Amino acid sequence: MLSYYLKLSWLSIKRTPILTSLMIVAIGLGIGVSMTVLTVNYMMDKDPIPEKSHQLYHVQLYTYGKGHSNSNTEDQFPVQLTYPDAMNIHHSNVPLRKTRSLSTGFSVIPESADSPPFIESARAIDHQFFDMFKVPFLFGATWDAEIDQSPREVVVINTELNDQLFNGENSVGRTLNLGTVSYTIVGVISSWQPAPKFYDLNNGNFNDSESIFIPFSLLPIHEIPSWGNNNGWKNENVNSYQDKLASEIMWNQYWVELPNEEIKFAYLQWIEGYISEQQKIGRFQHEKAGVSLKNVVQWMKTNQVVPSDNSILVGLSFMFLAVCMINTIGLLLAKFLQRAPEVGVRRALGASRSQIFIQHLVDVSLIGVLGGLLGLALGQLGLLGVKTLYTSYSQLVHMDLTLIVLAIAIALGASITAGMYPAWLICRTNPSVYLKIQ
Amino acid sequence: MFEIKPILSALLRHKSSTLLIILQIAITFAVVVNGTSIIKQRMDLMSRDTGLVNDKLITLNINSFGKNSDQESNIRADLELLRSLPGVVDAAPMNQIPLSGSGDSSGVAVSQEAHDNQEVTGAGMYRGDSHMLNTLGVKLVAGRLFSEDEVTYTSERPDVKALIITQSLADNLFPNGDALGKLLYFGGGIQVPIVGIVEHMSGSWVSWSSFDNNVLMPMVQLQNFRRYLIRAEDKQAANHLLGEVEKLLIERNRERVVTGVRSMDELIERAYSDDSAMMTILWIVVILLVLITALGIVGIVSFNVNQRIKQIGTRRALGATKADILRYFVTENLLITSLGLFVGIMMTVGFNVFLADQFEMPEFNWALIPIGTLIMFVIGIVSVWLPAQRASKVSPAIATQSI
Repeated sequence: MLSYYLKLSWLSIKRTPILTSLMIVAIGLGIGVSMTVLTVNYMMDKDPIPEKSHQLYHVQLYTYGKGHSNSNTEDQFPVQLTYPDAMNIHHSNVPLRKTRSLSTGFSVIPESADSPPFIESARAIDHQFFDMFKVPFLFGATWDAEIDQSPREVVVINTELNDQLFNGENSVGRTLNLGTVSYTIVGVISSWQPAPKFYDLNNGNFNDSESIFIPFSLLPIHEIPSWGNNNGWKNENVNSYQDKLASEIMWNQYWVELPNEEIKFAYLQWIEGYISEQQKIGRFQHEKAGVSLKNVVQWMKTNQVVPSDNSILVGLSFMFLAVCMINTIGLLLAKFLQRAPEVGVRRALGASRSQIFIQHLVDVSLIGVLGGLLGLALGQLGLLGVKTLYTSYSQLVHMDLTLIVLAIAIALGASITAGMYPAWLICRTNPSVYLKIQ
Repeated sequence: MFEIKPILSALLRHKSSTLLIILQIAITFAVVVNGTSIIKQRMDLMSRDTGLVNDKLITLNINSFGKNSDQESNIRADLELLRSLPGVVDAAPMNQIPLSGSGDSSGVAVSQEAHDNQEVTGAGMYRGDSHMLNTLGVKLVAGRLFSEDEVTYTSERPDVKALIITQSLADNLFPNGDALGKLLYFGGGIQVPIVGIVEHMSGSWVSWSSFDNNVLMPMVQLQNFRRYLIRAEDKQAANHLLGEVEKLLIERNRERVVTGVRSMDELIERAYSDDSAMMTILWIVVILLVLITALGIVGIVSFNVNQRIKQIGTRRALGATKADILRYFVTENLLITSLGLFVGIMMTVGFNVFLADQFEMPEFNWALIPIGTLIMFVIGIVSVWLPAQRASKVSPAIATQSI
């Protein structure tokens, strides 16, 4: 029966090629535009580490003095920590895993004299960073836990840098010269590019991951510079790196893994104890002094990973889709009414109302599927355009199966909805009117 | 003479299809007007004057890693080299470059007391040598430039003896227009006299509220990372330098890496890349939407014409001219468009109130409503023209057929 309906639908499409292609194009454009915008939004907002996003917490401390605040966040907490705080809270053994973190970078000086030095971004972290964020290793492993207390010059690099410097061979045990200091390679990680770059949302939400990872404990020894934000509120004489380490400047980040609510509660208590201790020596003097733990999802929200431009575009694109659908209803009315005499004959020959109704819904569905397919093709084209427009999102924008199914579902659902009214109208046709004229 | 009455009664017989077109025109209008309003805002943002000699400037970063390199003599030698190059007007070491998206800012106040009470204005802090103003190409409107001996080379906290600020910052802090010679307070007891005012200079972050508030200081920071700004004679010379300058600097001293060699035009393009992307997307949405609505009107009117062929024929047989028929369909369309636009204007206002509420958008450009209305009328008439013409060609003989 369905194949008969489909055959009739195909015939009817062939009979009104211009009207039908107008409808297919309208649905296609509507789906294409809204899917492009929706894909970008969906990919930006996607949980980058779904297995652990509710166990990984970014630590914020309200270290401002009286009268100071951060006007850029809703709760006015500073986004980063001071070095003394990062060092002190690292003593807590409550979290399952923990890491200090700093965005930095080096001049890499290749062994051979013919290749010129080049700049690479790097990150100073603790040994559990890789486990916490599920970073896969290709060769070797992270450094020993003791190095986080008694620093040594060890380094983990990514596979891209390993390809460039060592032709992709196992480089564990070999030397990497960063500026004037030589580091021993202990591990090589596979390609790792979380989008958004949730573990550091203060320095470009969709920036590339770093290619070099060194122990955070080396900071005071090699005066590792900050490549990220440095925010100060206090008038301090900061003339040297050692001054900066002791200052109230906020430039470090801190992540903890708290597997359940009990541990989270225990950790909050630990931090509050730490804060009241610090208050005795004159720090944390603001009435809002306290701690805020935000998990990955909350942290993305705080940092507005999805720009407001995208929300505006989502709104506009759905209005666009609405116009396309209204347009389709209008055209369907025209198409179906044109066929009223034929329907009259079919009704007179014994076709029931529901048969006529279903026949027209099959018509509409066929148009919807064709429009949806056109929409998917246009959506791919649109995403290609988005890639050229926003170079930083390039790795982000692709349609996965969910989105493809969603696109077809929206196209089908919207066109069936659009077809309901015209189909209902036409199945109520009184056959006698047309039979008289014929 | 415009046959409004018969048109209305015809429209009332096709309530649903008339209503659909009205709705479609209304939503199209709302999207088009709000879309172009956002486009206009971004265009205004991007066309702001930078106060600099944009097309003649190039910038680069130096990352030195040599151990005991004497940084001051290194910087001096670099700049001597840069200034001696053919096609170069001037060059300066700087801690940050306008429109680059990175740099230093600080809160400044008109007195120590004001600073202690947090009554501060945010401003970008530009540090460089006495060539900095000439290299940027900013225009001094009051006071004097920095002298050679005011410039300090240091890695410590700045000991600055003189400041030049932008007119915008001067107006902000000293509304009476007497900024010149006054002291600016940075907190911690640091106070520096204002010796000059420049007309205009853009800051580093295009979306920062203090974009135009900037402070220039005669001071060169000695650190491993620094930036140079070079002013060329013209665009061609600047383009030539883009390809040459890295090699020349590395040849002079190999213990460093040169990165980020870019023209100011490229920095500006990068700074506004999200805005221009938004503009492109909005243009596409607006144009496609107008196209779909126009095609929709063509489709519906064609259908109406087909359905009414007999009536048209009858009217023609009863003496209506071709122009009468054409006028009938155009008037019908104008009527529908007007109703659609009426609903559309309501929606636009509502939509805009919502957007402004949610996203802190700058004020809506009301002039777009009459412009948009006009455009929609034109589109309506253009779309109706072809099918209406076809209707006007219906032969009066049709009326006599098949009865």
